[in-house]
Amino acid sequence: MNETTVGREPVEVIEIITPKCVNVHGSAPCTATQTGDAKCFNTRATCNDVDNYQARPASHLTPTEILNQGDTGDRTLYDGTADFFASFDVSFPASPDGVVFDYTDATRGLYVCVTAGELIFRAGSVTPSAAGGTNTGRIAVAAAQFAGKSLTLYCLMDFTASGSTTIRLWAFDPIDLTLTLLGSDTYTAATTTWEAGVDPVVGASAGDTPTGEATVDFNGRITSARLYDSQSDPGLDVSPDAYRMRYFFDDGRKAKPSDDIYILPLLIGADTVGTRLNLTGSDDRYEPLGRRAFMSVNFADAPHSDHTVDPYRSDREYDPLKRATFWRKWLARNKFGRTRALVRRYTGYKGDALSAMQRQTYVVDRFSEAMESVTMSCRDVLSLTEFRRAQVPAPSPGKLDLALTDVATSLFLSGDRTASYPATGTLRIGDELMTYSAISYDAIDDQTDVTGLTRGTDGSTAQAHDIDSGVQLCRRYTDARVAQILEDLIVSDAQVPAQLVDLPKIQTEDDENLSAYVLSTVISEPTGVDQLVGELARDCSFYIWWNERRQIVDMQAIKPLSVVDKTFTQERDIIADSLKIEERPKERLTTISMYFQPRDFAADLEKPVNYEQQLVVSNAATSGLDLYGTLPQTRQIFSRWLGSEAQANQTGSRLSIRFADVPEYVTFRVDAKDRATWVGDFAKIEHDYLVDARGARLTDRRFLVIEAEEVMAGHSQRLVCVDVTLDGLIYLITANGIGTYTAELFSAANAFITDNNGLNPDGTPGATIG
Amino acid sequence: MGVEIDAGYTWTNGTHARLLHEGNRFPIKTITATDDIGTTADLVDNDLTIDKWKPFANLLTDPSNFAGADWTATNVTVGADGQTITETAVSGAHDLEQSVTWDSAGGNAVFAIDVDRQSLSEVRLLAFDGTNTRTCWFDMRDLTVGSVFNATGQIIALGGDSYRLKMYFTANSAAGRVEIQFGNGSEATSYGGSVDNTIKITRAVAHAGEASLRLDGFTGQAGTCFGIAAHNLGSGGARITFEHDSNADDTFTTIEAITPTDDSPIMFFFNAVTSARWRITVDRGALPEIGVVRVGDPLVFERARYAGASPARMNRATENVGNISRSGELMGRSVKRTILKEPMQWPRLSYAWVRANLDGPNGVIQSLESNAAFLAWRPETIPDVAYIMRATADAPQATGQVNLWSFAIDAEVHSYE
Repeated sequence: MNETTVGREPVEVIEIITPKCVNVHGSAPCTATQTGDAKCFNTRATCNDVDNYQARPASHLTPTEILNQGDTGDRTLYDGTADFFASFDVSFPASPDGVVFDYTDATRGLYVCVTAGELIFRAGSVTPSAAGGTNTGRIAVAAAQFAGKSLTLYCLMDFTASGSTTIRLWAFDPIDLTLTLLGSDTYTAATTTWEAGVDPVVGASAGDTPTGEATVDFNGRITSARLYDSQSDPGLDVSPDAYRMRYFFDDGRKAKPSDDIYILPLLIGADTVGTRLNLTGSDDRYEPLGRRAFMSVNFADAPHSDHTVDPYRSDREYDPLKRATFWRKWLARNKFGRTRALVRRYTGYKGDALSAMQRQTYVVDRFSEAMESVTMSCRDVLSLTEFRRAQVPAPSPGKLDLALTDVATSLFLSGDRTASYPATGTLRIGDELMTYSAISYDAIDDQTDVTGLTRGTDGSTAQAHDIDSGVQLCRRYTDARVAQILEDLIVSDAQVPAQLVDLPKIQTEDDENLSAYVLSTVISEPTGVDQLVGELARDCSFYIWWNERRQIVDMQAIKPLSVVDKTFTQERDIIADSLKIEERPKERLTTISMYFQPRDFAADLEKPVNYEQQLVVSNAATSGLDLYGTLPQTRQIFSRWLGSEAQANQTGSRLSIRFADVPEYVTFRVDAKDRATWVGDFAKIEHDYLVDARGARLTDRRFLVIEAEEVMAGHSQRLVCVDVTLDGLIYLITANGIGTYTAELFSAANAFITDNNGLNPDGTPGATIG
Repeated sequence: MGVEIDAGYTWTNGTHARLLHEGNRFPIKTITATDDIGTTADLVDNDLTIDKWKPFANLLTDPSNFAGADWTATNVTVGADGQTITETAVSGAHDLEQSVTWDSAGGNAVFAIDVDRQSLSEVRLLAFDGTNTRTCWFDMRDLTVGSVFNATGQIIALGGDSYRLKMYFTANSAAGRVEIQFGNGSEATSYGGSVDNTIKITRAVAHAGEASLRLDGFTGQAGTCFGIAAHNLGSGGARITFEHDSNADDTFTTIEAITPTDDSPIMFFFNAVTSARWRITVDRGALPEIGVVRVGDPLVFERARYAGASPARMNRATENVGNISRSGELMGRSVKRTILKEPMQWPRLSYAWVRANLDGPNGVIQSLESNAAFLAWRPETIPDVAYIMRATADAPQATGQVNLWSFAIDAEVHSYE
């Protein structure tokens, strides 16, 4: 049964994934002594032994050292004749490479790196270099599977002095809450000790690296490294649901997925509001970042047996069917775990496996409870970028310990603030920006010394500042690319896990379409990440959205099209009487005023007077007494990001072309047979409402799907499209042997040599080299 | 399936409805299962159809993905969906194979596959338990069971052109394998294949043994009926044996064994046996599961129903919706099924009967308020059984005739197939 089966039976299943403690109540490492009704439910809110709560692998263990990227540990803390365990929170870039952890000297030690496309965990003798050497254990797995993901790596060395030693490497996915054993290897330790004669280093080489392995610094991000001395079996569990609870709900209909899962028939309905793209921020009804995807799920509440929900059900003295209801108990048991819990909506057909169904992913925002029902509100991952959740720069805690004159080259902060400010950087006090070159803590005076000040930078004016004035750390970008800034803002600042962001695609779009945007700016006060990303999208002509079906933050540059994904026709594809067309004359533009290069980054960035540069891009092609009229329609763009006239001109020109005419938004519904089309896809629409003055259908107009929503799960969906014909179309210079011109080949983006008038043999305009 | 009776059972007032409800079912003190992969056997007493006793786990890995690493394909290719099997043109055996360790000796083991019939002519199931080989041919052209060797074969229609091909047999507890072999129409396992021959296999199941579920009441009571609902015994091809231990010596006596033909609720009637211990045993089925088991002495209505009844299994509250284009093309049609409806009315009931059977905490009215019930509305002649909950509360009404009363139930029917 599938989308094209007549009489298909749609299936809609909601899945909630929450963290679960892997321990068994009362069994080591859990030391809880409660029995019967007092036992926990393997959730944090009900835990009886918080110190050993373990919803993430090894989280109950106490590290000997916790290090950050670039830090050097202390080798004297580790017994070189005992076992060793370590874990690393790693964000892998699109093409990972380099040293993750180096604890080797010229003779022996432990080593984790990405070398030649493989993630390597190696221990023992550093020579021979080949895998499987007698005195070397080496695990190698393809690194491509980790590209663009944030994972925790676990490395264990089960050491036997001068004997058989085993190493193991695991990866934990913090989104799906699953642990995978990547590999293990056994070798013969050559000596009674494994310890290297150097201190361990995170993210870089310690000096001597094993022959044949990477020596360069790791090119991704290591947010934490935890090292454990003499740690033998850390009790890691690779069972699929060891660290998570999965709850499935449907509306009780007879059609079920094929999976052997326990489905509670409590679902009343799920309403989704899809992502809506706001191209270049032109639609003033939405934020520049567009409208975030949203899902509201309404559940009935009912008594429940606690089957599959309570791991200690058989130990309870009470009858769970007679104790409250499913959701009341669930909410109490998952007070913490439900926060940002992953929610998936599956839509498919009777007998499909869940893995074969369409899947939309959200995170839980809040629950609201009524008499016999519970409503769960879910949002997309980009909601984590909102101001209240993620700000750049983050508010700084420092205050002046002494008043500051307008010429002083050092300042003092109360207490030890070295953890909140980097070694060098830019500060804002009042309306003045300044840079510093060193920072240190003075324990005697209990103050932080910030020295090497350069006052009144970035267009600001040096001023005197009172004691207790706030000292805000600024974020500075110098010659940065769009991809780099987006990764910073979304992954690092908003803490969206990297596997939920399509970093490789962002990099590709940047390389191929946005290379002109080399950006420099200073962000001098806490600003919502969503606002900054929206500004970037507007200023650099791209759009970014949560693709709930791919479970990833997707991105696309505004550019001419090369491929149209689907042609919808009135006869075959569009549900009768569902098509509507809306014009938005407010969005037509005749003049775009681009203001860039702020004079003073600490002053008001929404005032023209604060900008050194202005570029006015005009497009009067549709203006005139006999056209749309002569009144200008102007849009002002104030950009803290753009640094050159070339960049401003590129953005302004694209806007000018796109909005030369009144934008048209087309809304229609399609059958589930076309449910593959989703936000970000390009389409053509052939319909009797889209015609020229002679009534002939306009078949060459191209549309971008900016909003999609399954109106009835597995049955129909609504699409909102915007005309992007004016963005242009990319044709390829064709290969030899493709044959002579046909309309079909041309519409498939193949360019042909035209006549002297630039026309194809059938009279249509040919492709041009632009 | 519906109404089933013991071989020696004779009907009294067989046209009168039977109702096994909360007030006349036997309270159960303990439930003991011989096998239960989810430790959920006791849940069959809570009457929720979502909580099920599942005695067996599938011994096969990747049961719906034949491209999985544990399957070995010989002279066949597996499509991108992991389920569409295509012969290659090579001469020789054409099959899929997976190693299995049979985990229970003596009982009936099961090997079954669910297929969508396509162009391939024959399928043979083979099970090897380390010592013995069991085989069964299935002809996909006329849907008949062919030659069998030390096994029993069965074809169960699953709807559309989908079928469950199943064989059961006895197996040693040992390492062995299962094979899904293909044939060219002459029950030959070695032949020249054709890339035009395909079949879609959606699931494979193998497990061993039989399992029983024992229900111990508080005291011996005269039972006349088992109720079973929310099961897959029909589509799984399982056999169920009803037993009692009336002399409480842990030796169970078989009342009857039946093989349900569908997954609808069952009421099994037998001549009264006074016992505190009851048991059902299932075997031969593909991953059998049961959600509700009751034993008791159902209410026999005072009068039969004659007119106005509609069989619940056909009274489907089904919603159909279609999508058409402006030019009238049918682009898609979806079906949403929820519950069945069963409106029932019993006229001309005496007030004494009404008071004795409908009223009170164990009467029909309050029992249907609190829990679901099994209803056979004309069991001797109409085999339909419904697992019902009252949707609206109708009180008995005087009909105006010589102290006669009518009683109606507008019921929702659950677990109907």
